[in-house]
Amino acid sequence: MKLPGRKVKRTPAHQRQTLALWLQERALDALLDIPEDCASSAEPFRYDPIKFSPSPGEVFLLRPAIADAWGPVYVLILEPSDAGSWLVAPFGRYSVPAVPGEWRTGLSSEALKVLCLWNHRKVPARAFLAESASKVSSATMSRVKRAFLHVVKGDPLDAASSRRLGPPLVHPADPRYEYLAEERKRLDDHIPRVDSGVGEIENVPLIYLRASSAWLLAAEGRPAWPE
Amino acid sequence: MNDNFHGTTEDAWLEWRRVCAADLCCDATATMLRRFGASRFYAYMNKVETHSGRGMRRSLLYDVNNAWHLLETHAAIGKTRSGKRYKDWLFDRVGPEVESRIRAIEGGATLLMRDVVRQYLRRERGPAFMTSLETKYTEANASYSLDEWLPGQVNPLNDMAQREWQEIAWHHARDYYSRLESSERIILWARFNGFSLNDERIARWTKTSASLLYKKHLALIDDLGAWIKNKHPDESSAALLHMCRLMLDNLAELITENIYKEKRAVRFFKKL
Repeated sequence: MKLPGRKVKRTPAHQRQTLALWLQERALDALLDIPEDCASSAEPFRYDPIKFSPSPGEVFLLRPAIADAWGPVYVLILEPSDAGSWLVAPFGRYSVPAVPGEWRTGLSSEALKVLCLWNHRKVPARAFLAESASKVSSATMSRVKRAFLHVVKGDPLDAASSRRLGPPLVHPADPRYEYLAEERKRLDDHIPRVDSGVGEIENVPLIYLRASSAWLLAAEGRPAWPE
Repeated sequence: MNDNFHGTTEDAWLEWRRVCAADLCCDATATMLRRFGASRFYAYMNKVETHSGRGMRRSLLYDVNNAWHLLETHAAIGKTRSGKRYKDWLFDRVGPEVESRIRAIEGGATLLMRDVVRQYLRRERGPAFMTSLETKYTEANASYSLDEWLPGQVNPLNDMAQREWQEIAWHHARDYYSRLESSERIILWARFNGFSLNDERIARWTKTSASLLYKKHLALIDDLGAWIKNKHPDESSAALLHMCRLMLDNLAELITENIYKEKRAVRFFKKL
């Protein structure tokens, strides 16, 4: 049976190139086993009182909250949140953005190339390891803020910054779903939980029920959400 | 990777932590760390090259010997001491016993080396700018092309075409609904309503583990894709995916209307 008439707007070439690069990196990653003996030997949840005050734009490493947490995880401080906690976005494992909620930073360090804005969380300051590892420039930080508001609220973003976002996620069998679940878990394993008796961090829902984050709903295989 | 290589000592790691890089450590420490780095780098490279059937190349030997330097360059995020906080991360992972402390540090360094190898291979294999839209990628035993994953945006030509799309999708959804098993209907309902398949309540309702729910979901979507393709064999990926999404919208309605008929549904909703 022939389907009715339609126009098809092709996906831009740069998005196809980005996805091809990401798939290449992902395929290499799949060939490299996770070492069996990489778990830490420390008791989880050993949080010492912090002697520093984080500020927006600073980059911190997170302390593992469980023994086999897969790190290291660098996060960028976006803004102060509730008392004693900070809104952060983690940096990704790969060198190119996977989805429209990931943004290429333009920073040269391998560990800071991609910011996973979709995976933003509130983190208690005592989850940070030692003092800050780096600080991004104020110009970069203002670009990050605009990209963040675009990802979570759908605010407009200039063309140059838009090109730094990852390609759309539309197909239900796309391997990036699995990656998103991995990245959520990777961050979860670095944040103390309420039931651990240590942390006061909220339980972040897996799915963000915001219309502007439609691609995240797609990531969970959900085709639409009633308004 | 568990090759029982424990050739490092805590003193060596502590010295390395104090100074900037292995090159500035005493000869014994520098040699120990370089050997450790080389063994991990070689093990990973050997695994990848063996998998690709190419075998290790002679030109790699230099990089194997230089692996610890590659790690130090890769892991640092700046030239100052604060840019080397990853060293603190390695030591933050250690517990009180000496043997387990060294294992934990080596384990952390192995994770860092894994990233080094991935980036090394990525650079070595070059950019993917020439990747064809037809290049096939295998996922869950099925092959897909870039064209299928990024198929472009479909817009019906006019209002009449829009209605026709909706009508066909509705008929297809009704046909497909009759094929679904109870657990598949619950999986789709959970997705439509914002529940993660990791949610324990969904696992209890379906009496199925989260990992199996994910597998079933992927298999279901694959089957739906194949079903549509069978109905419309000559259509483009973009058109098929558009139909798939319209069908899922209609399935959401059908499933929501009938979800209370599923086994254990009452118990599930009572506990919500």
